[in-house]
Amino acid sequence: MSAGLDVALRGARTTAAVPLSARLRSAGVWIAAAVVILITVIVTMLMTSDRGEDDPLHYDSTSRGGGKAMVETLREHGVEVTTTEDGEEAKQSAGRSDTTLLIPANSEVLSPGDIAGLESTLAENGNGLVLIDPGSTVESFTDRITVNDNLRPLGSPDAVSQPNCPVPSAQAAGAVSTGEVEYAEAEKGTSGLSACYPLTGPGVEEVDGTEVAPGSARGQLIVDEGGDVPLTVIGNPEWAMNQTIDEEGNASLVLSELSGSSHLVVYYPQQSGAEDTPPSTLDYVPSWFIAGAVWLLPCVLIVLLVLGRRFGPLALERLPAVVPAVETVHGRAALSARSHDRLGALHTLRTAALLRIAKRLALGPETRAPDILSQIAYKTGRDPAQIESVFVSAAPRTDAELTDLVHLLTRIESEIP
Amino acid sequence: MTTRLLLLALIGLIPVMLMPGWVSAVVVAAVIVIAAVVDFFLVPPPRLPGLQRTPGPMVRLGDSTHCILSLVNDSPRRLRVRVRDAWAPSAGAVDTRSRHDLAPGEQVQVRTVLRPTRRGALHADKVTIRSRSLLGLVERQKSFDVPAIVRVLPPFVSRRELPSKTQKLRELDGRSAVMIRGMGTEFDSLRDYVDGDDVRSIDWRASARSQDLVVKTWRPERDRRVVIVVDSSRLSARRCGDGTVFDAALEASLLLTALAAGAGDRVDVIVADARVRAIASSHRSKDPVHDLSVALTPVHPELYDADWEQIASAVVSTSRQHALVVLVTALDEGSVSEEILPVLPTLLARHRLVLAAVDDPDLHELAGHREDAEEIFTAAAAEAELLRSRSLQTRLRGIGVQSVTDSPEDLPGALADLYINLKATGRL
Repeated sequence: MSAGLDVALRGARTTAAVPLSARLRSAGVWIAAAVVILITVIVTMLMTSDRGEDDPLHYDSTSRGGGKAMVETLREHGVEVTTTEDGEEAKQSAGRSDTTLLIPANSEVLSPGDIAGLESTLAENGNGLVLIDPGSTVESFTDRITVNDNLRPLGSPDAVSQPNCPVPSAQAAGAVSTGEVEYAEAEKGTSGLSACYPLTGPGVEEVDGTEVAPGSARGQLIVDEGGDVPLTVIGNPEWAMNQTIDEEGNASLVLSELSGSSHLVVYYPQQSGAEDTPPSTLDYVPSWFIAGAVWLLPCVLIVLLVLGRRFGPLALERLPAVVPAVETVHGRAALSARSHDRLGALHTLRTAALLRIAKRLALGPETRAPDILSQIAYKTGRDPAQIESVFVSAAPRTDAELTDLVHLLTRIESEIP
Repeated sequence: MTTRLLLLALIGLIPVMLMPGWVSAVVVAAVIVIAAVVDFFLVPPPRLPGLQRTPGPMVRLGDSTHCILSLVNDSPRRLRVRVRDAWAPSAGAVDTRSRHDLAPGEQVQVRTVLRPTRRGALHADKVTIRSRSLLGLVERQKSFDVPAIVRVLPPFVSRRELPSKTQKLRELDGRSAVMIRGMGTEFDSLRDYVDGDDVRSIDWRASARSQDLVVKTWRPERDRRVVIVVDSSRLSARRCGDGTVFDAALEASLLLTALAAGAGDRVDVIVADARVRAIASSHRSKDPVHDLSVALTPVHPELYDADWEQIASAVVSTSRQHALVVLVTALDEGSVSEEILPVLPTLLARHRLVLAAVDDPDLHELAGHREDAEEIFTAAAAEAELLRSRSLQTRLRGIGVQSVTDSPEDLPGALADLYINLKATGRL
């Protein structure tokens, strides 16, 4: 084999440079995957940060009813604020010295056990507790304070309440906006308890026969230094809300109540219920089994990668051009069918049949149609009038007539020997 | 990523399950990942400088051939590779994957058996090399262009008709003189009279010299020219039966070439559409059919209109003396009346013309179905098409061009019969 022939016949490896566009195309899958993952991550982050935004007095909430302004202002004033939604963490943080625990809302979701745990932790370290508008739940925290129910319901209190008490922070804050709920001491004459900002105004009168005896200390701010845990009840949530914290002396009152210690733990209990649900079947599965099942996930990933890796690109096939042949015939047939050109179709079929018959009967091309027709009648033994009608004169008006006529035409043609 | 890595990961299941917890899982995963990364750098890069394909012999469609891929390990490291010798699906590669362990400097040849399913020049696709180390946890792969072409000749199914046609041609010996005395025949030899010989071919002068009756024998004229023009334009790309019209045209031209070359005539084949695609001649060729097959192999019909003026000039320049010119094309009214008829006078002035066309069997089938109205309209349209091509044939006969149409399977035989008929009547 000569050298030239060798080169012509054999192919050796070539190192053609891959153009940039082809590289981009092959990298496109990865780019698309990266974009999808990025979008997923961003959306997930947005979704998670959305949580808690609308909860009232939530420490991260910047809405009108949120409590972020209060928390940020406290931080600016040098108070070390710890925020949490986790009960265990709150308990742990509340265990430090010189700390105040604030439960701004949702205190009703706490179980008696949770409350007892929190209070014992606070009591051990001498730390105080602040509740904002706990409602009747306040009775779970202490038996010394309750919701005041001895006011006539039709009263219309003043829009601004005065301190009316010796508590220094209230004195400093002065007048504040009025809320809807008032708290009072459970037993008349409880020592170590002071109540500020009682509701006043036209129609605000105490009535008899309720749980809270008339004349008990009552107000929207209760400061109780006499219990196991120093407890402050801020009866009006508006004082701490983003929208209204700057009205009257609200800010001054709330901030001074909360900045009494150098640490503040803001615990926002969440209605999770996970701790209360009965143990699921997963808890009965041994941990080695779960570990094995989780380990199988990367194994499956490896299986997919092993099986999914293609052994080189797909082989290309250069197909020759092929044109479908009878398409035009179908197209013309559809056209004539749509225009109901029965006579035209029949004429074509008649002509073709006559030509075939003439050839079979050995009649020359110059033979005239009447001669062929008489020959057909003679060969088939049919009525010449019928032959004439089928091959020349009959004009079908419906598709059914056309079908019958063509069937007869075909039968006569097949009868020719 | 290999099955070995999977096995390693599954073995990692044991420590993970024995010591459940995040720490053990992370430790085992880290061990596996580090092993895989280390192995990745241990894998020799899949670069084989010595990569060569040697295609096997060209075959007719239906037979199998092969291609040899040779791998040479020029690197100083041992190569454990898997190789994929990719071919286009129509090349019908039987087993494209193989596994090799190449010592430095070692060479191996991979033989890939090909069973092509399509005529033409079949191009090889890429060669993919997948390399792994002794550990075999991770594989690296790369694809290379290694050009090779396997030529698959037209099947020439109609060669089974060749013996009978050649026999028919031989029977003309001596008999054609009877049919047309003297004209276009050549005196061959004298032989003894046997019962059944025509008394008119008795050579009385020679009989007088010898004791027995002697007859002259004749043989058909030889050294005539036959030019076959195969149209490869869009009309030949029509699907017809299993293949295209062009395949049937190739079959017809192959059979006619075999027959005419065997009968001593010189055959030239021109394949053309908008330009001349291929030219083959039986002149000074030992095996005209094979040469023609090779010339026609890479040609496929293209979606152009045929340029008949150029084709006519190609025919004229091919043969200056009188020749039988066979145009294998389509009996399409538009192309025949507008493109072919204007150039016919030039060709007819010097040559005898025959037009061969493939009859679409689908048309006859459509014309035969006449059950409901829709089928009748379709049958009418098909009949109209058939009538049109028949009237075209009549028109062509009027200007002295014979035409033959038949189904793809029967066209080669019909064209051969026409040639024999022309030869027998001395009209070549």
